[in-house]
Amino acid sequence: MITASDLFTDMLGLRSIFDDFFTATTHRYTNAGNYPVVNVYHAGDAVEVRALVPGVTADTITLELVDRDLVIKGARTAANEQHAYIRREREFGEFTRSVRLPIAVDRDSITATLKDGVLRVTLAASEAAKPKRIAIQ
Amino acid sequence: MNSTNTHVAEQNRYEREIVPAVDIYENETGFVVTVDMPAVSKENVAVTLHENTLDIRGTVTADEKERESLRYGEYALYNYHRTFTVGDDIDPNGVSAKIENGVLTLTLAKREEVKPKKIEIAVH
Repeated sequence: MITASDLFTDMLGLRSIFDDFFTATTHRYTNAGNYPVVNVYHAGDAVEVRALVPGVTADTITLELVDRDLVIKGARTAANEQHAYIRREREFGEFTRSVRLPIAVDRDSITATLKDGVLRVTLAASEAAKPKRIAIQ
Repeated sequence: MNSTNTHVAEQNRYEREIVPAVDIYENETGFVVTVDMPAVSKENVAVTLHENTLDIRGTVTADEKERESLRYGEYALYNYHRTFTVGDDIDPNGVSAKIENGVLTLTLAKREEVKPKKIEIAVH
């Protein structure tokens, strides 16, 4: 059996082949205008949004819930300012990313952690989004 | 369920590698190499310098269960690997590494004899 997630993995692989061919870049997970890249997980009543933000410190990140969108703002600052680069592939500056959530979430039960450059935001389904069993009369 | 397919997919998954983005600059004492390696913790980094080859590896430990609940995805994490050739002016014993917030910083010290030396001009 081929599951949906296997197909997805293969599709991602195909996309990276095209990306490599057309851009000849090494940092395939930071595409401009789409920074940071995110994954959205949904299981049961919980939604988790993960973003790859290497080198971004927690104090620069702000998270906002706007309707069904999670807005991630932050900044990445370069440690080196005075020396000339021999090789420069990493990008710096401020970023804003809006992520559409798969379900309506409870505004008061949002938690976020930042570890090893991965931001994890955990959100819970709002009461209105939870399934309701309807009794047959 | 045919477990063979899943097994093959899994093999491919772990054999793939990400070439991480790298910045390199030179300062007075040596070279500084910074590598983006999100999702790699301190114990999963391996840096070796052998015969002028600097080999940088970062291992990502992925959870199979997480893939099942993925609804929308823009990235897939694989192990990181990148190799550089360095010159003879690097001191093999002068390499230090630290990882912080998913960014690996390597400091490669130059050999004493190639460091710029200030020559005092004797005043007579």
